[in-house]
Amino acid sequence: MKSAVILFPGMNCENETIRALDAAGLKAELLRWNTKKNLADYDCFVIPGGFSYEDRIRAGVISAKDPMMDRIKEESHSGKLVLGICNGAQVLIESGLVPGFSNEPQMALAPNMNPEFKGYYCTWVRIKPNMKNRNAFNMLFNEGDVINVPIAHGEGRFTTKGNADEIRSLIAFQYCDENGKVEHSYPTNPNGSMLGIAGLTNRQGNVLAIMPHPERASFDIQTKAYGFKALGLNFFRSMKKYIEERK
Amino acid sequence: MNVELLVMLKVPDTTAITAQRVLERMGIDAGKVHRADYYLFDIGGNEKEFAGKIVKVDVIVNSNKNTAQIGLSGKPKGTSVLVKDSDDECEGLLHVLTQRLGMREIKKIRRGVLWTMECDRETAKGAAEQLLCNRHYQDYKIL
Repeated sequence: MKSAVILFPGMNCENETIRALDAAGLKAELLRWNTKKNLADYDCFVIPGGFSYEDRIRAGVISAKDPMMDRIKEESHSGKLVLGICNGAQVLIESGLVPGFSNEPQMALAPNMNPEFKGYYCTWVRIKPNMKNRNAFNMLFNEGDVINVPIAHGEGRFTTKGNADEIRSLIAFQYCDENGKVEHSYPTNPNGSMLGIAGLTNRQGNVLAIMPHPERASFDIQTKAYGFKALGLNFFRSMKKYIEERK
Repeated sequence: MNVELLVMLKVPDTTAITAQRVLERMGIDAGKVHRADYYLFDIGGNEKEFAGKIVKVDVIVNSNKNTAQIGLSGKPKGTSVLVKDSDDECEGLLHVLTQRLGMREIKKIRRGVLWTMECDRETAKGAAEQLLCNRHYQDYKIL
């Protein structure tokens, strides 16, 4: 099984993303945004975190308009998995691939809002899977799981002027407290994201835009100093299980 | 009393250049694209005195790389689109200017980005809706 990590200029999380995919059994290859390689050769795609195009105009929008995203959309329409992490999530939102109701953006990842400060915010958060939306990325999680993952972003607030009820059914992960209770207020919700959304899928459940970084909480060495389990690898293992079951 | 301030780059504006190239690739012929940071200050007090002060505030205008002008009359020729975040109250900047720098005549600030393109209004609207503005958290106005 082969995965492709799609690197746009300015993204910087490719190495740890590749490491996590390899550990999950999805042999990862780095593909640059202008590659001529045939995407049909890969089983799934991950757009990693970073600062593509220096967040010019706004985070993720330049990459979202790149011809590579047309190719990714085509692969996703055939059912292949696409995971966008942090800046990768911003690319998926700006391209319309999540929530995927049309080709135009139907949401935004807007600047963080919390009562203490605005701007770039790095911290550990807790998220829980929404088991009402069973999808390719949460198959190995259970109701009640609390996943400790880090965030590092300035524009992580999911928001829309569209229909919030349509969006609710696509929630894959939400910010929660240590008991797994979803709270919409700071500090549990670090950025004011609507409905406490940390990760959102498309209707088909094969594309996920997630703001926290699971690749940074995939191994004990990344989390043991903080005293919690490294559950991030289950995102990538879920992807592998989904692909295996479809084959 | 409202005072408008535009802050432009003296050095090449790579964001404007990128926007122009992406618009071209999207098939939108916007011509040369200029960008400026836009501020609207609601002040009490003397407008001329405030204008003289605000262009020297280095948290807004870095004289090493920025030029500044009061009002929109000197902006580049073309159609301008002002893009603002819908819920940006500029609390941080207001606090810095009024509390740290003592500019207590400022009551309110709004800010945005002013994009000026060598094209007609219809093309500028297309550029705004397809690239420059995400209407789920921003608004735009064609000036």
